[in-house]
Amino acid sequence: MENNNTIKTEDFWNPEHIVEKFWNGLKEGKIYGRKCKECGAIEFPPHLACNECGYHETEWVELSGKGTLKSFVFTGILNARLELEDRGLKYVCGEVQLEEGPSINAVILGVSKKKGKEIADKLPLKVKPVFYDMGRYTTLFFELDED
Amino acid sequence: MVQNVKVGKNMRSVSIVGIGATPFMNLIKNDTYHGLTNGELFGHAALDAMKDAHIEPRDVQYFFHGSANPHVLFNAITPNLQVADWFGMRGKGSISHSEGCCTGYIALEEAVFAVASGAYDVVLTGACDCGTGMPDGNTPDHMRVELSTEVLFPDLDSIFDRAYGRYLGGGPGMNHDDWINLYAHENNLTLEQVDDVLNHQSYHMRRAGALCPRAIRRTTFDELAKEAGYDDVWEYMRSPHNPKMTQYLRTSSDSCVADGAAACIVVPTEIAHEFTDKPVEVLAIGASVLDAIVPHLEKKATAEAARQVYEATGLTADDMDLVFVNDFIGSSAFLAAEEIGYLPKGEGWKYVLDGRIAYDGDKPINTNGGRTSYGHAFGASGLADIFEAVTQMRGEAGLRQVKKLPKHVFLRGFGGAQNVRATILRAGF
Amino acid sequence: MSREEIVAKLIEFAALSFKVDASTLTEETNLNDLGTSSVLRVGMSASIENEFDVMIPVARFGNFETIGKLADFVLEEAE
Repeated sequence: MENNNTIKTEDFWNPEHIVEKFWNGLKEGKIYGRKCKECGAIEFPPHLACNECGYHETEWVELSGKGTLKSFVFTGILNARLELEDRGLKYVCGEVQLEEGPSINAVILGVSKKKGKEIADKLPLKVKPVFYDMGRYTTLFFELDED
Repeated sequence: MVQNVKVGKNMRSVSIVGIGATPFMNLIKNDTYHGLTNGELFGHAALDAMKDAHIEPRDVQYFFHGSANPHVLFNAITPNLQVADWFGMRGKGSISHSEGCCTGYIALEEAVFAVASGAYDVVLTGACDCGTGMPDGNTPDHMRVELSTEVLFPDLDSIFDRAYGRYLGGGPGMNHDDWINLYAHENNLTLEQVDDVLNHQSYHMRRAGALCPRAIRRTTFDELAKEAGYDDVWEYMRSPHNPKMTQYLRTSSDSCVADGAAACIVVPTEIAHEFTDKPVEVLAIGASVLDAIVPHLEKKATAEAARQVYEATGLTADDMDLVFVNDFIGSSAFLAAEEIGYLPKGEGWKYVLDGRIAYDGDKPINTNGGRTSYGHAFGASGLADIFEAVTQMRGEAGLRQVKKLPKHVFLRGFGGAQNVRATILRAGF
Repeated sequence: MSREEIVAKLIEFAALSFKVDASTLTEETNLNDLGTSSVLRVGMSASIENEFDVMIPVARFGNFETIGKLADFVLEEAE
């Protein structure tokens, strides 16, 4: 089937733009992941294959962004995130497990040093998504879900 | 992640028969060394390794060049061919590779693959990074200027995934304190206890670094405390002289950026005794790589790489006489030593407080001082640890020689946010 | 804490971190002339955060040319 050399390359090979779809999705308040066609695990952030069971194929799924904060650390002068400091944001970085299963290291806004000390021994705590406009792109942070 | 990898036996066993290393130094500030270049440092380490193996450059068939950041630090993307002429290997085959701060550990793995396969018999593997400076604009390599934080810090983000993690932000922020924070909670340690443990660890690492002629920081904390007018070193370690730079790490737990190179020669074990009477066999190497977005990735990747190498060798942590952990994040040293079973689960912090991880303790770790005292020349650090491991296994480490001549040594390579390797060496044959 | 006290503390920290004699430092001293490497600046930034609870990431340290400008920022942030 491949010896038909008149076929246009774009008709021959035209995969989806996964990364582009993910970041454009965040602009619209949507959180895209993938779901493994064999084991059903959620692949987040989205990739082509499944890293839970090692199967080759996954399909799109939309996630709620709800999850739980399981652990967190403050940053200091050596590892502060400049893009957040420059915006005067108060934040911690921590492990967030999404309700659909996957866990990632994430940024949790609105947690000052004082607040952090208060919640340190109350973990895990519910968090919800924040679609934060960084100017050139919109990214996904989290904040405590206190309601 | 899928954990079904079984590391097989090498087609033929491979041994280290020659080692070489420059000191870790500061080319910018040290007038004696200012003006030296990447090619010369790599060249000296390579020629020293050849001399140690009693061979000439003409006898070496192939080489590997490792560096963590050749583009920023050396303004080069193919350093292998740019250094070959320094040590008489013009025209032979070579490879450049780059895995961040794990480069030097992977350098040994690459060379072992090349010999175990039967493709080559005598292979050189070296690594070099000049981390304190950068090219002085568009000039020859002897002209270098200080690497400012304005250049260094934005560039450090290049170890994080540009598709997602770098811009979701959590991973980069947790890079230093994730594991010590988890460990503190699991073992109910207060911030003060953790602080004390990390200060004791830096203290004992520096005692070893002070006895290592190639280390960049060789002044003990006892001397530093006295100079600053403190008669209690622990008070000094908690003073403004040693401030916190992350939530848990004081500057004494910060790796000291350096310039330097290290190299070794590997051959088939069956002919090793033609080169040296103290060869060191590379038994097996476990490997696991996890992106910075993965929670507790250092703990998980260290456990997975250790599982692979223990299974491949049939050995256990009790067989290990000495451990090296790449500790450019200071807390990694005892955390990884406990994770691989060298220190009992939940007890590692006590071993540190009791000084048992010092070069003169019963569970020695990083007898060259590790990254906080020997220094951190990024890609070269791994081969510098292999240089120290072989030196200890030969019983040639002088004042910092561990009490019991090591038969098995475990090295936990780490870097590039994060590659992990678990290498077991064997001596005494 | 008064501005003078902050300047004095910053001079003390700068002497420690940049390994220079405190007597050679004044409010007009340009910190970027003392050194721009992370080895030197980490100590200074960390001392400022530990003392005043004001966070200046090491990579942003170059924004403050003089000890005086640094003192103004600390005074403003520490309120």
